[in-house]
Amino acid sequence: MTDTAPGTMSHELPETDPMGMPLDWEWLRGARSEWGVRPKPSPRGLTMMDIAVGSYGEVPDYPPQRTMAPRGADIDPDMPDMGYIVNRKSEVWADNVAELYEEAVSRQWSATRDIPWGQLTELPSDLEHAVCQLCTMLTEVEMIATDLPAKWMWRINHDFLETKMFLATQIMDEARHAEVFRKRALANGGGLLKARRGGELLLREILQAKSFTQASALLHLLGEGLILDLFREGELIAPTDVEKRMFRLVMQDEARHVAFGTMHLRYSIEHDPDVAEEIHEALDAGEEVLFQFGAQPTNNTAMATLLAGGVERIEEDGFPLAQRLSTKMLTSYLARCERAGLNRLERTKIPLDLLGIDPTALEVA
Amino acid sequence: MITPHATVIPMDSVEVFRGLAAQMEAHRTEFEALGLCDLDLEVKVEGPPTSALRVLLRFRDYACSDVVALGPEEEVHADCRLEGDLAVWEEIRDDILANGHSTGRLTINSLVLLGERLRLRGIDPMGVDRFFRYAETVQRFFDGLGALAGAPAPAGA
Repeated sequence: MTDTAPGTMSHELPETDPMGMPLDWEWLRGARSEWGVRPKPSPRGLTMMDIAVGSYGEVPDYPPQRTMAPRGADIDPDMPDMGYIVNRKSEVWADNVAELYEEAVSRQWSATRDIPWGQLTELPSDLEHAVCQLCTMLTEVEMIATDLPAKWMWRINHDFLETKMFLATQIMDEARHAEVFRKRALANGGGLLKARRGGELLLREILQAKSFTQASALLHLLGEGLILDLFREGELIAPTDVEKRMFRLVMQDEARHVAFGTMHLRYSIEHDPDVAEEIHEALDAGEEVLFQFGAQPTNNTAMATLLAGGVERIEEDGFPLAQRLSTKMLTSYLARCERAGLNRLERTKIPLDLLGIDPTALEVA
Repeated sequence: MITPHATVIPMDSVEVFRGLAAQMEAHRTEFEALGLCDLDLEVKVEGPPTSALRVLLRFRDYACSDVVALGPEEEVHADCRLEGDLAVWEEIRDDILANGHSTGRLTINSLVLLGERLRLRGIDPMGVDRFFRYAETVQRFFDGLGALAGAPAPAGA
């Protein structure tokens, strides 16, 4: 193929088709375009970062139209309005979003194929019940991270394509999480156990967020940040290689979502400092509901049972270790808030002293 | 249980980490299936001067493209750092050699979550979170010690 620029074709083109209908050759010789752009593939292939060249890589702060037409195309001025309500870049953008999209596509896995289900072994009754209770709760909460991005995606201006593409990967990730936890609950002769009111209250709080940025704070930073640490605990207490693999794989996905949320909130605050208060308000409410959820005894006893290796040593080993890991979990959350540009230390109602959290030494660990 | 091979895999040798990188390359198809990895991970084996080691592992795409030995005080930019004494690294090795891969509370994630013997550190939470984004790849990298035991001893070991 040559680099012939639009409008330089020498061949005489017909003005009508054989039926006499007028033909449109504007795409061939009249389009405003960056014809001749040749992005260079990186060693891993042609990535979204590779093709973000010239005007194709420019994401407008305020897209001029609300249309599904591809950013960078020669767009008719009278396109129909798609009714998007999220039309400001700072409301949805993160500087790492293209990288995370590529990573998400590359690191997909299958709950059917990639978990060694055949290696499940019979567990003591208390451990099997505890695994099933944990998986029941996780099956329930994981789908919020499918429903919430889906709720917002069609409202987001199509010029923010990379964000919408990343959210699409998150939707697939979370569907797979619900799948893998449901499968584990059923696969070893156990089943789905108790679903409690507290979980639903938390999910409703997240789902009803008033803006995408508030939703991202509640979902990606608070909810998924804490669930990421819960997955890490799951890998720690996994009774067999089946759960080890399962929790490591969901952990990877969750960490990607947290990375998007952290950097989205940072971008949002940097470009619109007033939004910080809006985020704080969402987190004020979210932390309170989440704390109630985290304190509910159904899931706590199941996790402590797994940490102790059985109910016999739950008081000596299970509860103390669960407490220690909760401290780490909330410390990591507060460190990510700082990274996002949010100082939660002066706002949070989380009892830092009671939990032994040192506000001068916040780090993900 | 320690296999006879354990003695030829000294965890305080940079050549062991070069051997692991070679194992990753030898099993490239397996790592490609896990997906791309973009992580600069410092590994610190703490101990007396004769057995202390700092090494930077650069993971790019589907390979550990660089294994760089670091001086004791050398400044380095890494996303995060795994640090623990020689004994814990040897325990990780012995578990892998005995079982073919890390098990129970001796997986890398389990050890750093408990945080007593192996610690995950980093200045930037985003950098530390990269460890979790590539958790399976990193674990499989260290599980390569099993294959290393069956391979010729790394040079200099």
